[in-house]
Amino acid sequence: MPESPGPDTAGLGTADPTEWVDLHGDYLYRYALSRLRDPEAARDAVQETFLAALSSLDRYDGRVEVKYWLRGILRFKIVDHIRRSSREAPIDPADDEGILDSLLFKASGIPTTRPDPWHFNAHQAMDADLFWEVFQQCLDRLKEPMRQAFVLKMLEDMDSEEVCKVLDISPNHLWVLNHRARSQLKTCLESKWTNR
Amino acid sequence: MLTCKQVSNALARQDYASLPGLKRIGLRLHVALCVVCGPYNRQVMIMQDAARNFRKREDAGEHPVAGPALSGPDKERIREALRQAPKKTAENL
Repeated sequence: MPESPGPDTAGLGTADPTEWVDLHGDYLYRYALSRLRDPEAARDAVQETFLAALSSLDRYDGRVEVKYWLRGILRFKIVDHIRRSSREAPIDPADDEGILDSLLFKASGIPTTRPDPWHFNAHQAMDADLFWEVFQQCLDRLKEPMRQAFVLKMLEDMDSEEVCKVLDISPNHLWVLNHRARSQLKTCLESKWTNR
Repeated sequence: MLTCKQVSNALARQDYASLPGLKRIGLRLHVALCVVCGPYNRQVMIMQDAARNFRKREDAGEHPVAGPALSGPDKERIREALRQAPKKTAENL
């Protein structure tokens, strides 16, 4: 059993990054794939992560597990990738279906008083391991830039301001993208989960 | 007293679960009772629950989505890149 660098390891000299590829490579790859969707981009992000980790080994103080330290680096690479790809395909200001101009939105911040109710008990479903595979499948089906907006705001838990900077969009535009993402995710989940 | 706009803005800004205690209670109460913004904002909160749950599962160790692993050749490529990379060791820091 390879000696896994734990909180006691000072990172200098005792840690072998090539071992980390075996120990943590799959986890990092799956995480990257979950955020980037594209296998090649995910592979690149993971490789960049390991290289960056190697060159900043001296800064690993063992306070977090290696896996999560690496993941921290990976998350930066993921955001970098999304920033780059959104520059390559600049996001048009949303056609917001008139939501933003509606009286209801201006007064209450919502697009409708009567959204279509969930077709199943979402909270109950969240207890099932299988639900999360379906969740990821539905996430993968979102079109850009909705997918990227959802990934950054909801999964990477970034501040709206930061997300707007990465995607180069306004806060209102971000709201529309997330509104659409939520709506499409719900529809997809309703279809795939109830038909599983 | 919270307005619908304040509730909607708060939910747009952050996960309701990370609001401080009293604010969170106030928001949840408004959403539970308000006929105007309740139904929509409740759905926003459900999505926040899903995202938070997903992240929590990721933090627990295994990725919640079993999915593909890095292939043997891909792993070897990365190990090779690491071996080729300039090294900082205890000696030359």
